Amino acid sequence: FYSNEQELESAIAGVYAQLQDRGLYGLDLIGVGEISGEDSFEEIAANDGGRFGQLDDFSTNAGNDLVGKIWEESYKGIQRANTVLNRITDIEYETSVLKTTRIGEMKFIRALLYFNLVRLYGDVPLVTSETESPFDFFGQGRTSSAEVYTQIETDLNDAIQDLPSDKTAGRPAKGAAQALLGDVLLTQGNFSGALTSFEAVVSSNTYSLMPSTSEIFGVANEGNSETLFEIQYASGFLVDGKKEGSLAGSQFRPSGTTASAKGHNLPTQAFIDSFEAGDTRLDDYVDVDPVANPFYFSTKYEISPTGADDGGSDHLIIRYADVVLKYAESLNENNQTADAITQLNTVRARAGLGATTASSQTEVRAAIRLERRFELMGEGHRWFDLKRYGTAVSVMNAFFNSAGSNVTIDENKLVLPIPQSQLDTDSSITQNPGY
Amino acid sequence: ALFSMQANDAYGQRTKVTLDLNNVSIGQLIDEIESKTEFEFVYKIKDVDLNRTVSVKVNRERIANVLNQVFQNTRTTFNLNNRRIYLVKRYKPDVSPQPEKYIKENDMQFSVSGAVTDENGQPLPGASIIEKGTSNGISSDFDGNYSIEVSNSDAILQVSYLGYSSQEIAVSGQSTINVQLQPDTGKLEEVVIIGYGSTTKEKFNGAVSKVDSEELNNYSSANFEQALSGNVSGIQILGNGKNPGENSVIQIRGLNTLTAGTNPLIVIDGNPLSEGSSFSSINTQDIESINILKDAASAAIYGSRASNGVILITTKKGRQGSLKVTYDTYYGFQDRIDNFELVDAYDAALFDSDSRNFGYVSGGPGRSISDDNATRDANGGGKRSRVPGYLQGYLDGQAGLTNTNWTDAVFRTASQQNHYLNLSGGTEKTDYSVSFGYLNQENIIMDSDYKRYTANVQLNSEINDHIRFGITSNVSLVNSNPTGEAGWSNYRLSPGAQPDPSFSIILMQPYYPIHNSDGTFAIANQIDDNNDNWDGPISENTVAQTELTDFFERRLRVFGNAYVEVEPWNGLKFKTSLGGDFNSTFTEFFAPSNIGNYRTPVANNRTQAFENNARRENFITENLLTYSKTLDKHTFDALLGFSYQEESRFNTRLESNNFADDNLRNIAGATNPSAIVGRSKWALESYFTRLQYDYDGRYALSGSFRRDGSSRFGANTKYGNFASVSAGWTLSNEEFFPEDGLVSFSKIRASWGQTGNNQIGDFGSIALIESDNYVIDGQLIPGSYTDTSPNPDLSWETNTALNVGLDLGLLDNKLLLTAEYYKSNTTDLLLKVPVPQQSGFSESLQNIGELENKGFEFEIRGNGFEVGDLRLGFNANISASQNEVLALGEGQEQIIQSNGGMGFLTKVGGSIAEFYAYDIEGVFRTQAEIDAAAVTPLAGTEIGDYVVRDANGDGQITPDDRVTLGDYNPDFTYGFGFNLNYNGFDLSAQFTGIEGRKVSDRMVYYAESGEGFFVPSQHYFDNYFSDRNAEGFFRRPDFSSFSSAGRLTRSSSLSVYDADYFRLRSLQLGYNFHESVTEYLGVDFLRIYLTGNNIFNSTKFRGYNPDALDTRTNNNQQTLTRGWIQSASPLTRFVALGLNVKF
Repeated sequence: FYSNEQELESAIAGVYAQLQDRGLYGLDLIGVGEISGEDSFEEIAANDGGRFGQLDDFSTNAGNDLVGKIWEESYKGIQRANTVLNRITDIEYETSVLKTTRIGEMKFIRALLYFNLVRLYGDVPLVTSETESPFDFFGQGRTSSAEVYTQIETDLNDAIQDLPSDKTAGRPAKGAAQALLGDVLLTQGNFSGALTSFEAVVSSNTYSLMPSTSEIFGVANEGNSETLFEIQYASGFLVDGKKEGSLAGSQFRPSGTTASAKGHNLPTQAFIDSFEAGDTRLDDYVDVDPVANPFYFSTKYEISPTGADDGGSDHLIIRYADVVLKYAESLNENNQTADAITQLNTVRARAGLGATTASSQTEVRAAIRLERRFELMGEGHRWFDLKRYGTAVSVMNAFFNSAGSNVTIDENKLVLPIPQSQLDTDSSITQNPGY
Repeated sequence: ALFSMQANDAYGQRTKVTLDLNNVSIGQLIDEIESKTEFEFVYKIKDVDLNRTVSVKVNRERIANVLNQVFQNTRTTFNLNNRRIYLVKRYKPDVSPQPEKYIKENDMQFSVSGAVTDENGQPLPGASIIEKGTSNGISSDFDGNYSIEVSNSDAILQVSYLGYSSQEIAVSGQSTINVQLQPDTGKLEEVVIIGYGSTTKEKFNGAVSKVDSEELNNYSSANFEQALSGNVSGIQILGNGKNPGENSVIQIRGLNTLTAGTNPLIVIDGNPLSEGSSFSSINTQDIESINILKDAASAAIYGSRASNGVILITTKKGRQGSLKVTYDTYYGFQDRIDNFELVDAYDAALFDSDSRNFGYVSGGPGRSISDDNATRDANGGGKRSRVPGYLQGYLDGQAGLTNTNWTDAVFRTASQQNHYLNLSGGTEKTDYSVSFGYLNQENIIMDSDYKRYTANVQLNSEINDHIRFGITSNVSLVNSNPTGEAGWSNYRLSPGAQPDPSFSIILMQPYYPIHNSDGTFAIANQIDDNNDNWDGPISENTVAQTELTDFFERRLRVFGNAYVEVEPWNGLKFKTSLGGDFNSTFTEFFAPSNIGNYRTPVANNRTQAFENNARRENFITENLLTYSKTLDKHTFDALLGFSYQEESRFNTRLESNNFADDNLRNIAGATNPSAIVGRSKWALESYFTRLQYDYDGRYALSGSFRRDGSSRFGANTKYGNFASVSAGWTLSNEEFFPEDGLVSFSKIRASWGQTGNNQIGDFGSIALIESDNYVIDGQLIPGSYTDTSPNPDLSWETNTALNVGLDLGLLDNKLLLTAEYYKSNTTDLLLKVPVPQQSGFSESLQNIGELENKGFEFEIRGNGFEVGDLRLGFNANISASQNEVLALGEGQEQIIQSNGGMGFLTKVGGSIAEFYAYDIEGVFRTQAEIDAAAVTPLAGTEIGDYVVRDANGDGQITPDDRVTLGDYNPDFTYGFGFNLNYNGFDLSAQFTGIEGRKVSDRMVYYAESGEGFFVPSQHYFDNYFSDRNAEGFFRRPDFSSFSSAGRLTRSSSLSVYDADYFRLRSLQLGYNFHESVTEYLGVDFLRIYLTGNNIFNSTKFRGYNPDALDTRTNNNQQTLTRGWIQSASPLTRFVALGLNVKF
C-alpha cells in the first residue's frame, strides 16, 4: 500500500475521515468548545457518564471519556497525516501540482489538530514523523506548547505555499490556511501577524458572507461561499457497515425531542434572552419544541430520517463570518478601530441589525466579542474565544456567581486534565496542575 | 484305526494323530481330522484361510503339535477344549515386556474355558486371555467364549480388553472360569491417547487427565466441555454465554498468555480443529474419551498451537461383535438458581424519588427537596429532576398498582430433551459405529431455543494383513433462535448487537405493564412517558421487543477424515490421512418498525435487518510413519510425521434499514442493502518426530521435536522449533520393590517441553489497511489508513514448561494417587498493549515480555471397592495455579486496562489483571464529616459520596490511591465425587468448588451503582445511605448530577465481588433392570435414571454466574481485564429423567 497515486489519495481521504470521528468534529470538539463556556449547557449532567456534564461545572476529571477521546482521535489523525507526508514524497503524481496541494492539505490538518490539542491540554507530545514502533514513545513526555506552536506555524506557512488559491469542496485552500494561521497568531497575542494573515484572506476575495443567515447552514446550503473549511457529513450512506453522518444533530437536541436526543450543548435561557430585537439569527439558528421539552437548541446541525447517527450537516470549522470577526478583532487590537467597526457591521447587517454603537477601542472590543457569541453560537468557539481574550476565569466565575452556583474556577481549569489512560500507560506523561 | 484314544477329560491333550496328506486344503485337512477323531472344529470362515494348501506327515503326534505346525505364521490360532478345537484369529500381544518362554506342548496339562463379558453381561469378543508369564494366549470368540490350554492347574490367566481393566485369575483347578471385565476407570494399563498415537498410563511420562464417556454423560449439556468442570484437576471451564451451545473457555493450568488466545488445541480423532470453532457441534454422547494433555512435553508434538494445552477427543468406535443398538434419551427442565434480584415497584418508587430528589438538590444552588416539578424546571433541573406523579401511589403503599416483574417475564423454566441412537458392531476385519442425535433445548431466556441434529459415522477396515483404512465423519445441523447478547435494549446492524432481555430487565421499570388489557403488547409506554415527561431509562418493552423481532441462526458443520494405513513390515506402519472441517453459518435478524427501540419512539424507528453468511473451510493432510520394535527388554516406538493444514474463512453480510414495509421480514425485502465482505486465511506446515523408549517397564524415555511454519507470523520468523524430553522411572517394577506391600504401583516422572501460541489473528504481522471513507460533495471517497503497525519479526509465544509428577497405586491399584507440580515460562509474549497514543495507535502487538506460571495438582481415584454387594468408587482433586508477570515491553512497567469502567492492573512482579480501584471505607454522611476529614477527599466530594482509603498515606486522595483488589484466578479449585452400585442401583455425584476468585459483573455493578437509571437490586436498595437508612454502606442514589468524586469511585472495592462457590455439579441415580426383566422385554440392557446438574449451589456472589467471562470481546480484553463479566446467563439447575436401552 501507499505505492501509487490512487492509494495515496485513498490514504488522504482517510485523514479527512478521521476528522469526522465522534471524538473530534463529530461531537466532542464542538461540545468542549461550547459547554465549557457560559452560553451553552448540558441538559442532564449525568448523561453519558457525565462526559459533557462535567464540562459545565468544571468538575472534569482525568477519567472523563471525552478527555480521552479527543486526545486519542487527534493523535490518530496526526499519525494518518504523518504517514501520508512520509510516503507521498516518493510517489509520482500525474500532476505535480496536485501532489503539492495534498502535502499542503496534510500539513494544514496536522496544524489544526495540534492547535486544538495545545489549546485544550497545554503541553502535548509532538510527533511529526510516521511511527515505526509505538514503543519508541514510552518516556517521550510532553513537549512545551511554545515548541508545538512553532511546529503549527511552520506547517501552516508551508500549507499557505502549497495550497491553491481556489477552493475545492471539502478541502482547504490557501485562504483556509491563512485564516487558521491568523487564529494561531491571534491566540498567541501576535496581533500584527494575525492581521496580516486575515487581511490576506479578505483581500483574496475568494470568500464572502452569504446574503442571509438562513442560507449558511443546512444540507441544502453546503459548500457555499462562506465556507473556508468544513468537515463533510452526509446521511444515507451505509458502506462497509459505516455511515457518513454525524451525531451532532440528534445529540445536541433536548431530551425527548427526537430519537437519541441527549440535550448536549443547549443554549442557555439567559443567552437566548440576550439576542437583540430583530436579529434574524434567533430564528435562523435557534429553535424550541415547547411541548416535548422547553429547552432551546441550535438548528445548525440537522437531524436525518435515516438514523440518529446519520445527520447530514457539515461542520464548518472555518467560515467567513468567523474570519471577518477575527479580522475585526485584529484590526481593533492594532488600533485600526474604524476599520474594525466596518468589518463588524458587515456581520451585523447580514443579521438584520444596524451598525454598532460602539466607538472606542474598548467598546469595539466588547462589541466584537458579543457579536461572536451570537454569530457563532453552538459551533464550538466560545470557550476558545474566552481563553484567547484571557477573560475565561473572570467571565465564568461571574457567571457562576450570578447563577447562584458555588462553583469557582482558577487558571488551572483553562486546560483539560491529561487522560488517565495516558498517565497509566507512560509515567513520563504528567498531569496538569489542579487535577 | 490309526489313532488311539483314552477316555479322559483331557482328550485333546492326550490324543495323538497320524496323518499323511499331500497338498490338501485346510478345509480338507479339517474334514480328515474330524472323520478320523472325535475332534470337532469350531471356527468362523473369515478366521481361517480354508483354501490354503498344506502337506502334513505326522506319526502319532499330539494334535496340538500338528495344529501348531499347520497354523504357524498364519493369522489363525487354535484352542483345544477337550474334543473341540476352536480356530480363532491369532491374538497378537501389543508389545510384551516379558521375554517369551518356549512352551513345550508337553507342558500343556490343563484346559480352561469360559466366557468373557462386559460389566453388563454382554459378551466381549476378541478379549485376550493369556497365561501369565508365557506367550500362550488366545482371543475370545464371537460370543465371548474362550478355551485355553494352560501349563498346569495353578496357572494364572490374564484377561484383558481395550478400555477395560485387566483381570488376573488363578485357575486353581477350575475348568470353567467366566470373567466379567469392568470398564477401565483410572487403571494404569488404561490407554492414554497422545498426539499422533497412544500409549499406556504406565509408560506415559507427562501429565494427562482422562475423562471417559460415562463421566461426561453425568452432566447434561449441549457442550461437552461443561462436563469437564470439577472432574479433573488443573482444568477450569469459564465463560457462560447466553445461548445453549455457546462455547466456553477451557483453561488448562492457568493463563499462559497476556493477549494471545487462550483456547487449547482441540483434536478430534486426530483432526486438529481451528481455534474458536464451535464445540457444540460435537455430540457429547459420541465421545468415547477425552484426554487432556496438560504438560508442555506431551503437548509439544503439536508445536505452535499447544501452549494452552491440547484436548484429544476420541469418538466412539464399533467393536467386534454382532450389531448392538443403544438408545438413550432424557427429558428434563432447567431453572435459574442465581442470586440476582431486582426490587419491585414499591421499592423502586422509593429509590426513584430518592435518586431524582438527591440529584436535583445536589445539582445546583437554592434547591429544595420539596420543590414541585415546575419549580425544578425553572431552576434548570431538567427532566431527570422531575419526580413522576405516579410514584406517589406506590409511596403511599396503594395496593393493586402495576407491579411488573420483568425478571420473571424474561426467564422461564426451560425444557430440554435428548435422543441418541447408536448402532455399532464389527467383524474381525471391520468395525463400524453409526449414531444419530437430536437435542432440543429451550433457553431459560424467553423466545430462544436450540435444536441440534447430529450424525456420526466411524468405519475401520482391514483389507488384508498389511492395509487398513477407515473414515470418520461427523455432521451436525443446528437451528437456533439465539437470544441477543448486546446488553442495552437497542438493536443495531452489527453482529452480536441484538437486544438482550436478560440484561434489559434492569432498564425496565416495574410501573409499566407488559401487555395492555386487551392482551396486545404494551408498546413504547416507557419510552413515550420518559421522553415526554421524565427522562429515564428510555427503553422499549423488552418482552415485546424480543417476541416481535426475528433472530435465527443455522449452522451446518461437517468434519471428518479418511485414512489408509499400510504395514509393509512387522512394526513399521505408514498412515496417511486427509481431513476436512466445513462450517457454514447463516444468521438473520429482522426488527420491524412498529415497535420502539432504545431512546427511539415507534414513530422514529425503522425496519432493520441483516443477513450474515459465514463459511469456514479447513483442510488437513497428515502423514505418519511409525515403527515399533521390541528387542529383549528394550521397546522402541518411533514416529516421523508431516502435516499441512490450511483454513479459509468467508464472510458476507448484507444489512439495511431501508424497507418498504414491515411485512417483508428478511433482507430480501430491503431496498439496496449494504454488503460487507470479509476474507481470511491461514496455513500451517509442520514436520515432527518422536522417539519413545522403554526398558523393562522400569525406565521410560521420550523425546519429540516439531517444526512449524505458520502464515500468521512475520517474514523473518515463519518457522519455529519445539522440542520436548521426558523421563519416567517405575519403581514398582524394580526388583527391590516389595511385591505385596500396600503400594502396588509407583512411578516418578519428569518432563520438559516447549510449545507455542499462535492465536493472534491471521494478519497480525502485516500493517493492515482499514477503510474509513469520506464524503466530499455527496460523493463517497474511499478512504484508508494504517490500522496496525507492521512487525516482520512477529512470532509465536514460546512456553517452556517443566512438569514433575508422582503416581502411586495402592491396594492393588484400587486407589490411585497422582501429584503434579509444574512451572512454565512464557517468553516473547504476544503483547497487544496500550501504548502512548501520540504514536497514533492505542495499542500494539509485539513479542515482548515474560510470564511465569506455576502450580500443583493432586488427584485421587478409588475404584472397585466392594462391601458385600455394594461397589464404591470415588475421586477427589485439588489444583492451584499462580502467575507472575516477569517483564513487559521496553520502557513499560505496567498495563492498566479498563473494561466497563473497572480498572485492571498488570504489573511486573504482579499477577495478570488484578482489580485496580479505590478502596472504599464508608460514606460521607454529613458536610461536617467532609469538612473535618483528615484526608483531603477527591475533588468535588459531596454528602453521600464514598470515603476512599488513603492507601499511600499522603493525606489526600489521588489516582495513586488506587489499590489492587485480587484477581479472577482462584487460589485453588477442587472437586470430588463418588459412585455407588448396589443391586442394580447406581448413584453418582460430583462436587466442585473454587476459592479465592474475584469478579466484577456489569449487571450487578449497574444495579448497585445508585445511578437512578437502573432498577436497583434488592441488595443495593436495602443498604444505601438515605434518610431512611442512615447506616447504609452504599452511596446515595443520584439521577442527574453525579459529583466528579462520585464518577471516579463509580467502580471501586465495592464492585469487586467474592465469587467463590461450592456446587453439587452433577448427581445421577440409576437403576439397571434385572436380567429377568430385560429378557422378558427382549433387550440386553435397560436402565432408567434421574439426573441433575447444580442440584446444590452455595455462593455469596450476587450476579448471574461467577464462572462467566467476557468471551465476546477480543483476546487482550479477555486477558488483561479478566474478571470482568460483561454478559452472562444465570446459573441453572437441571433435572431430567432418562432411559437407556441396549439390544
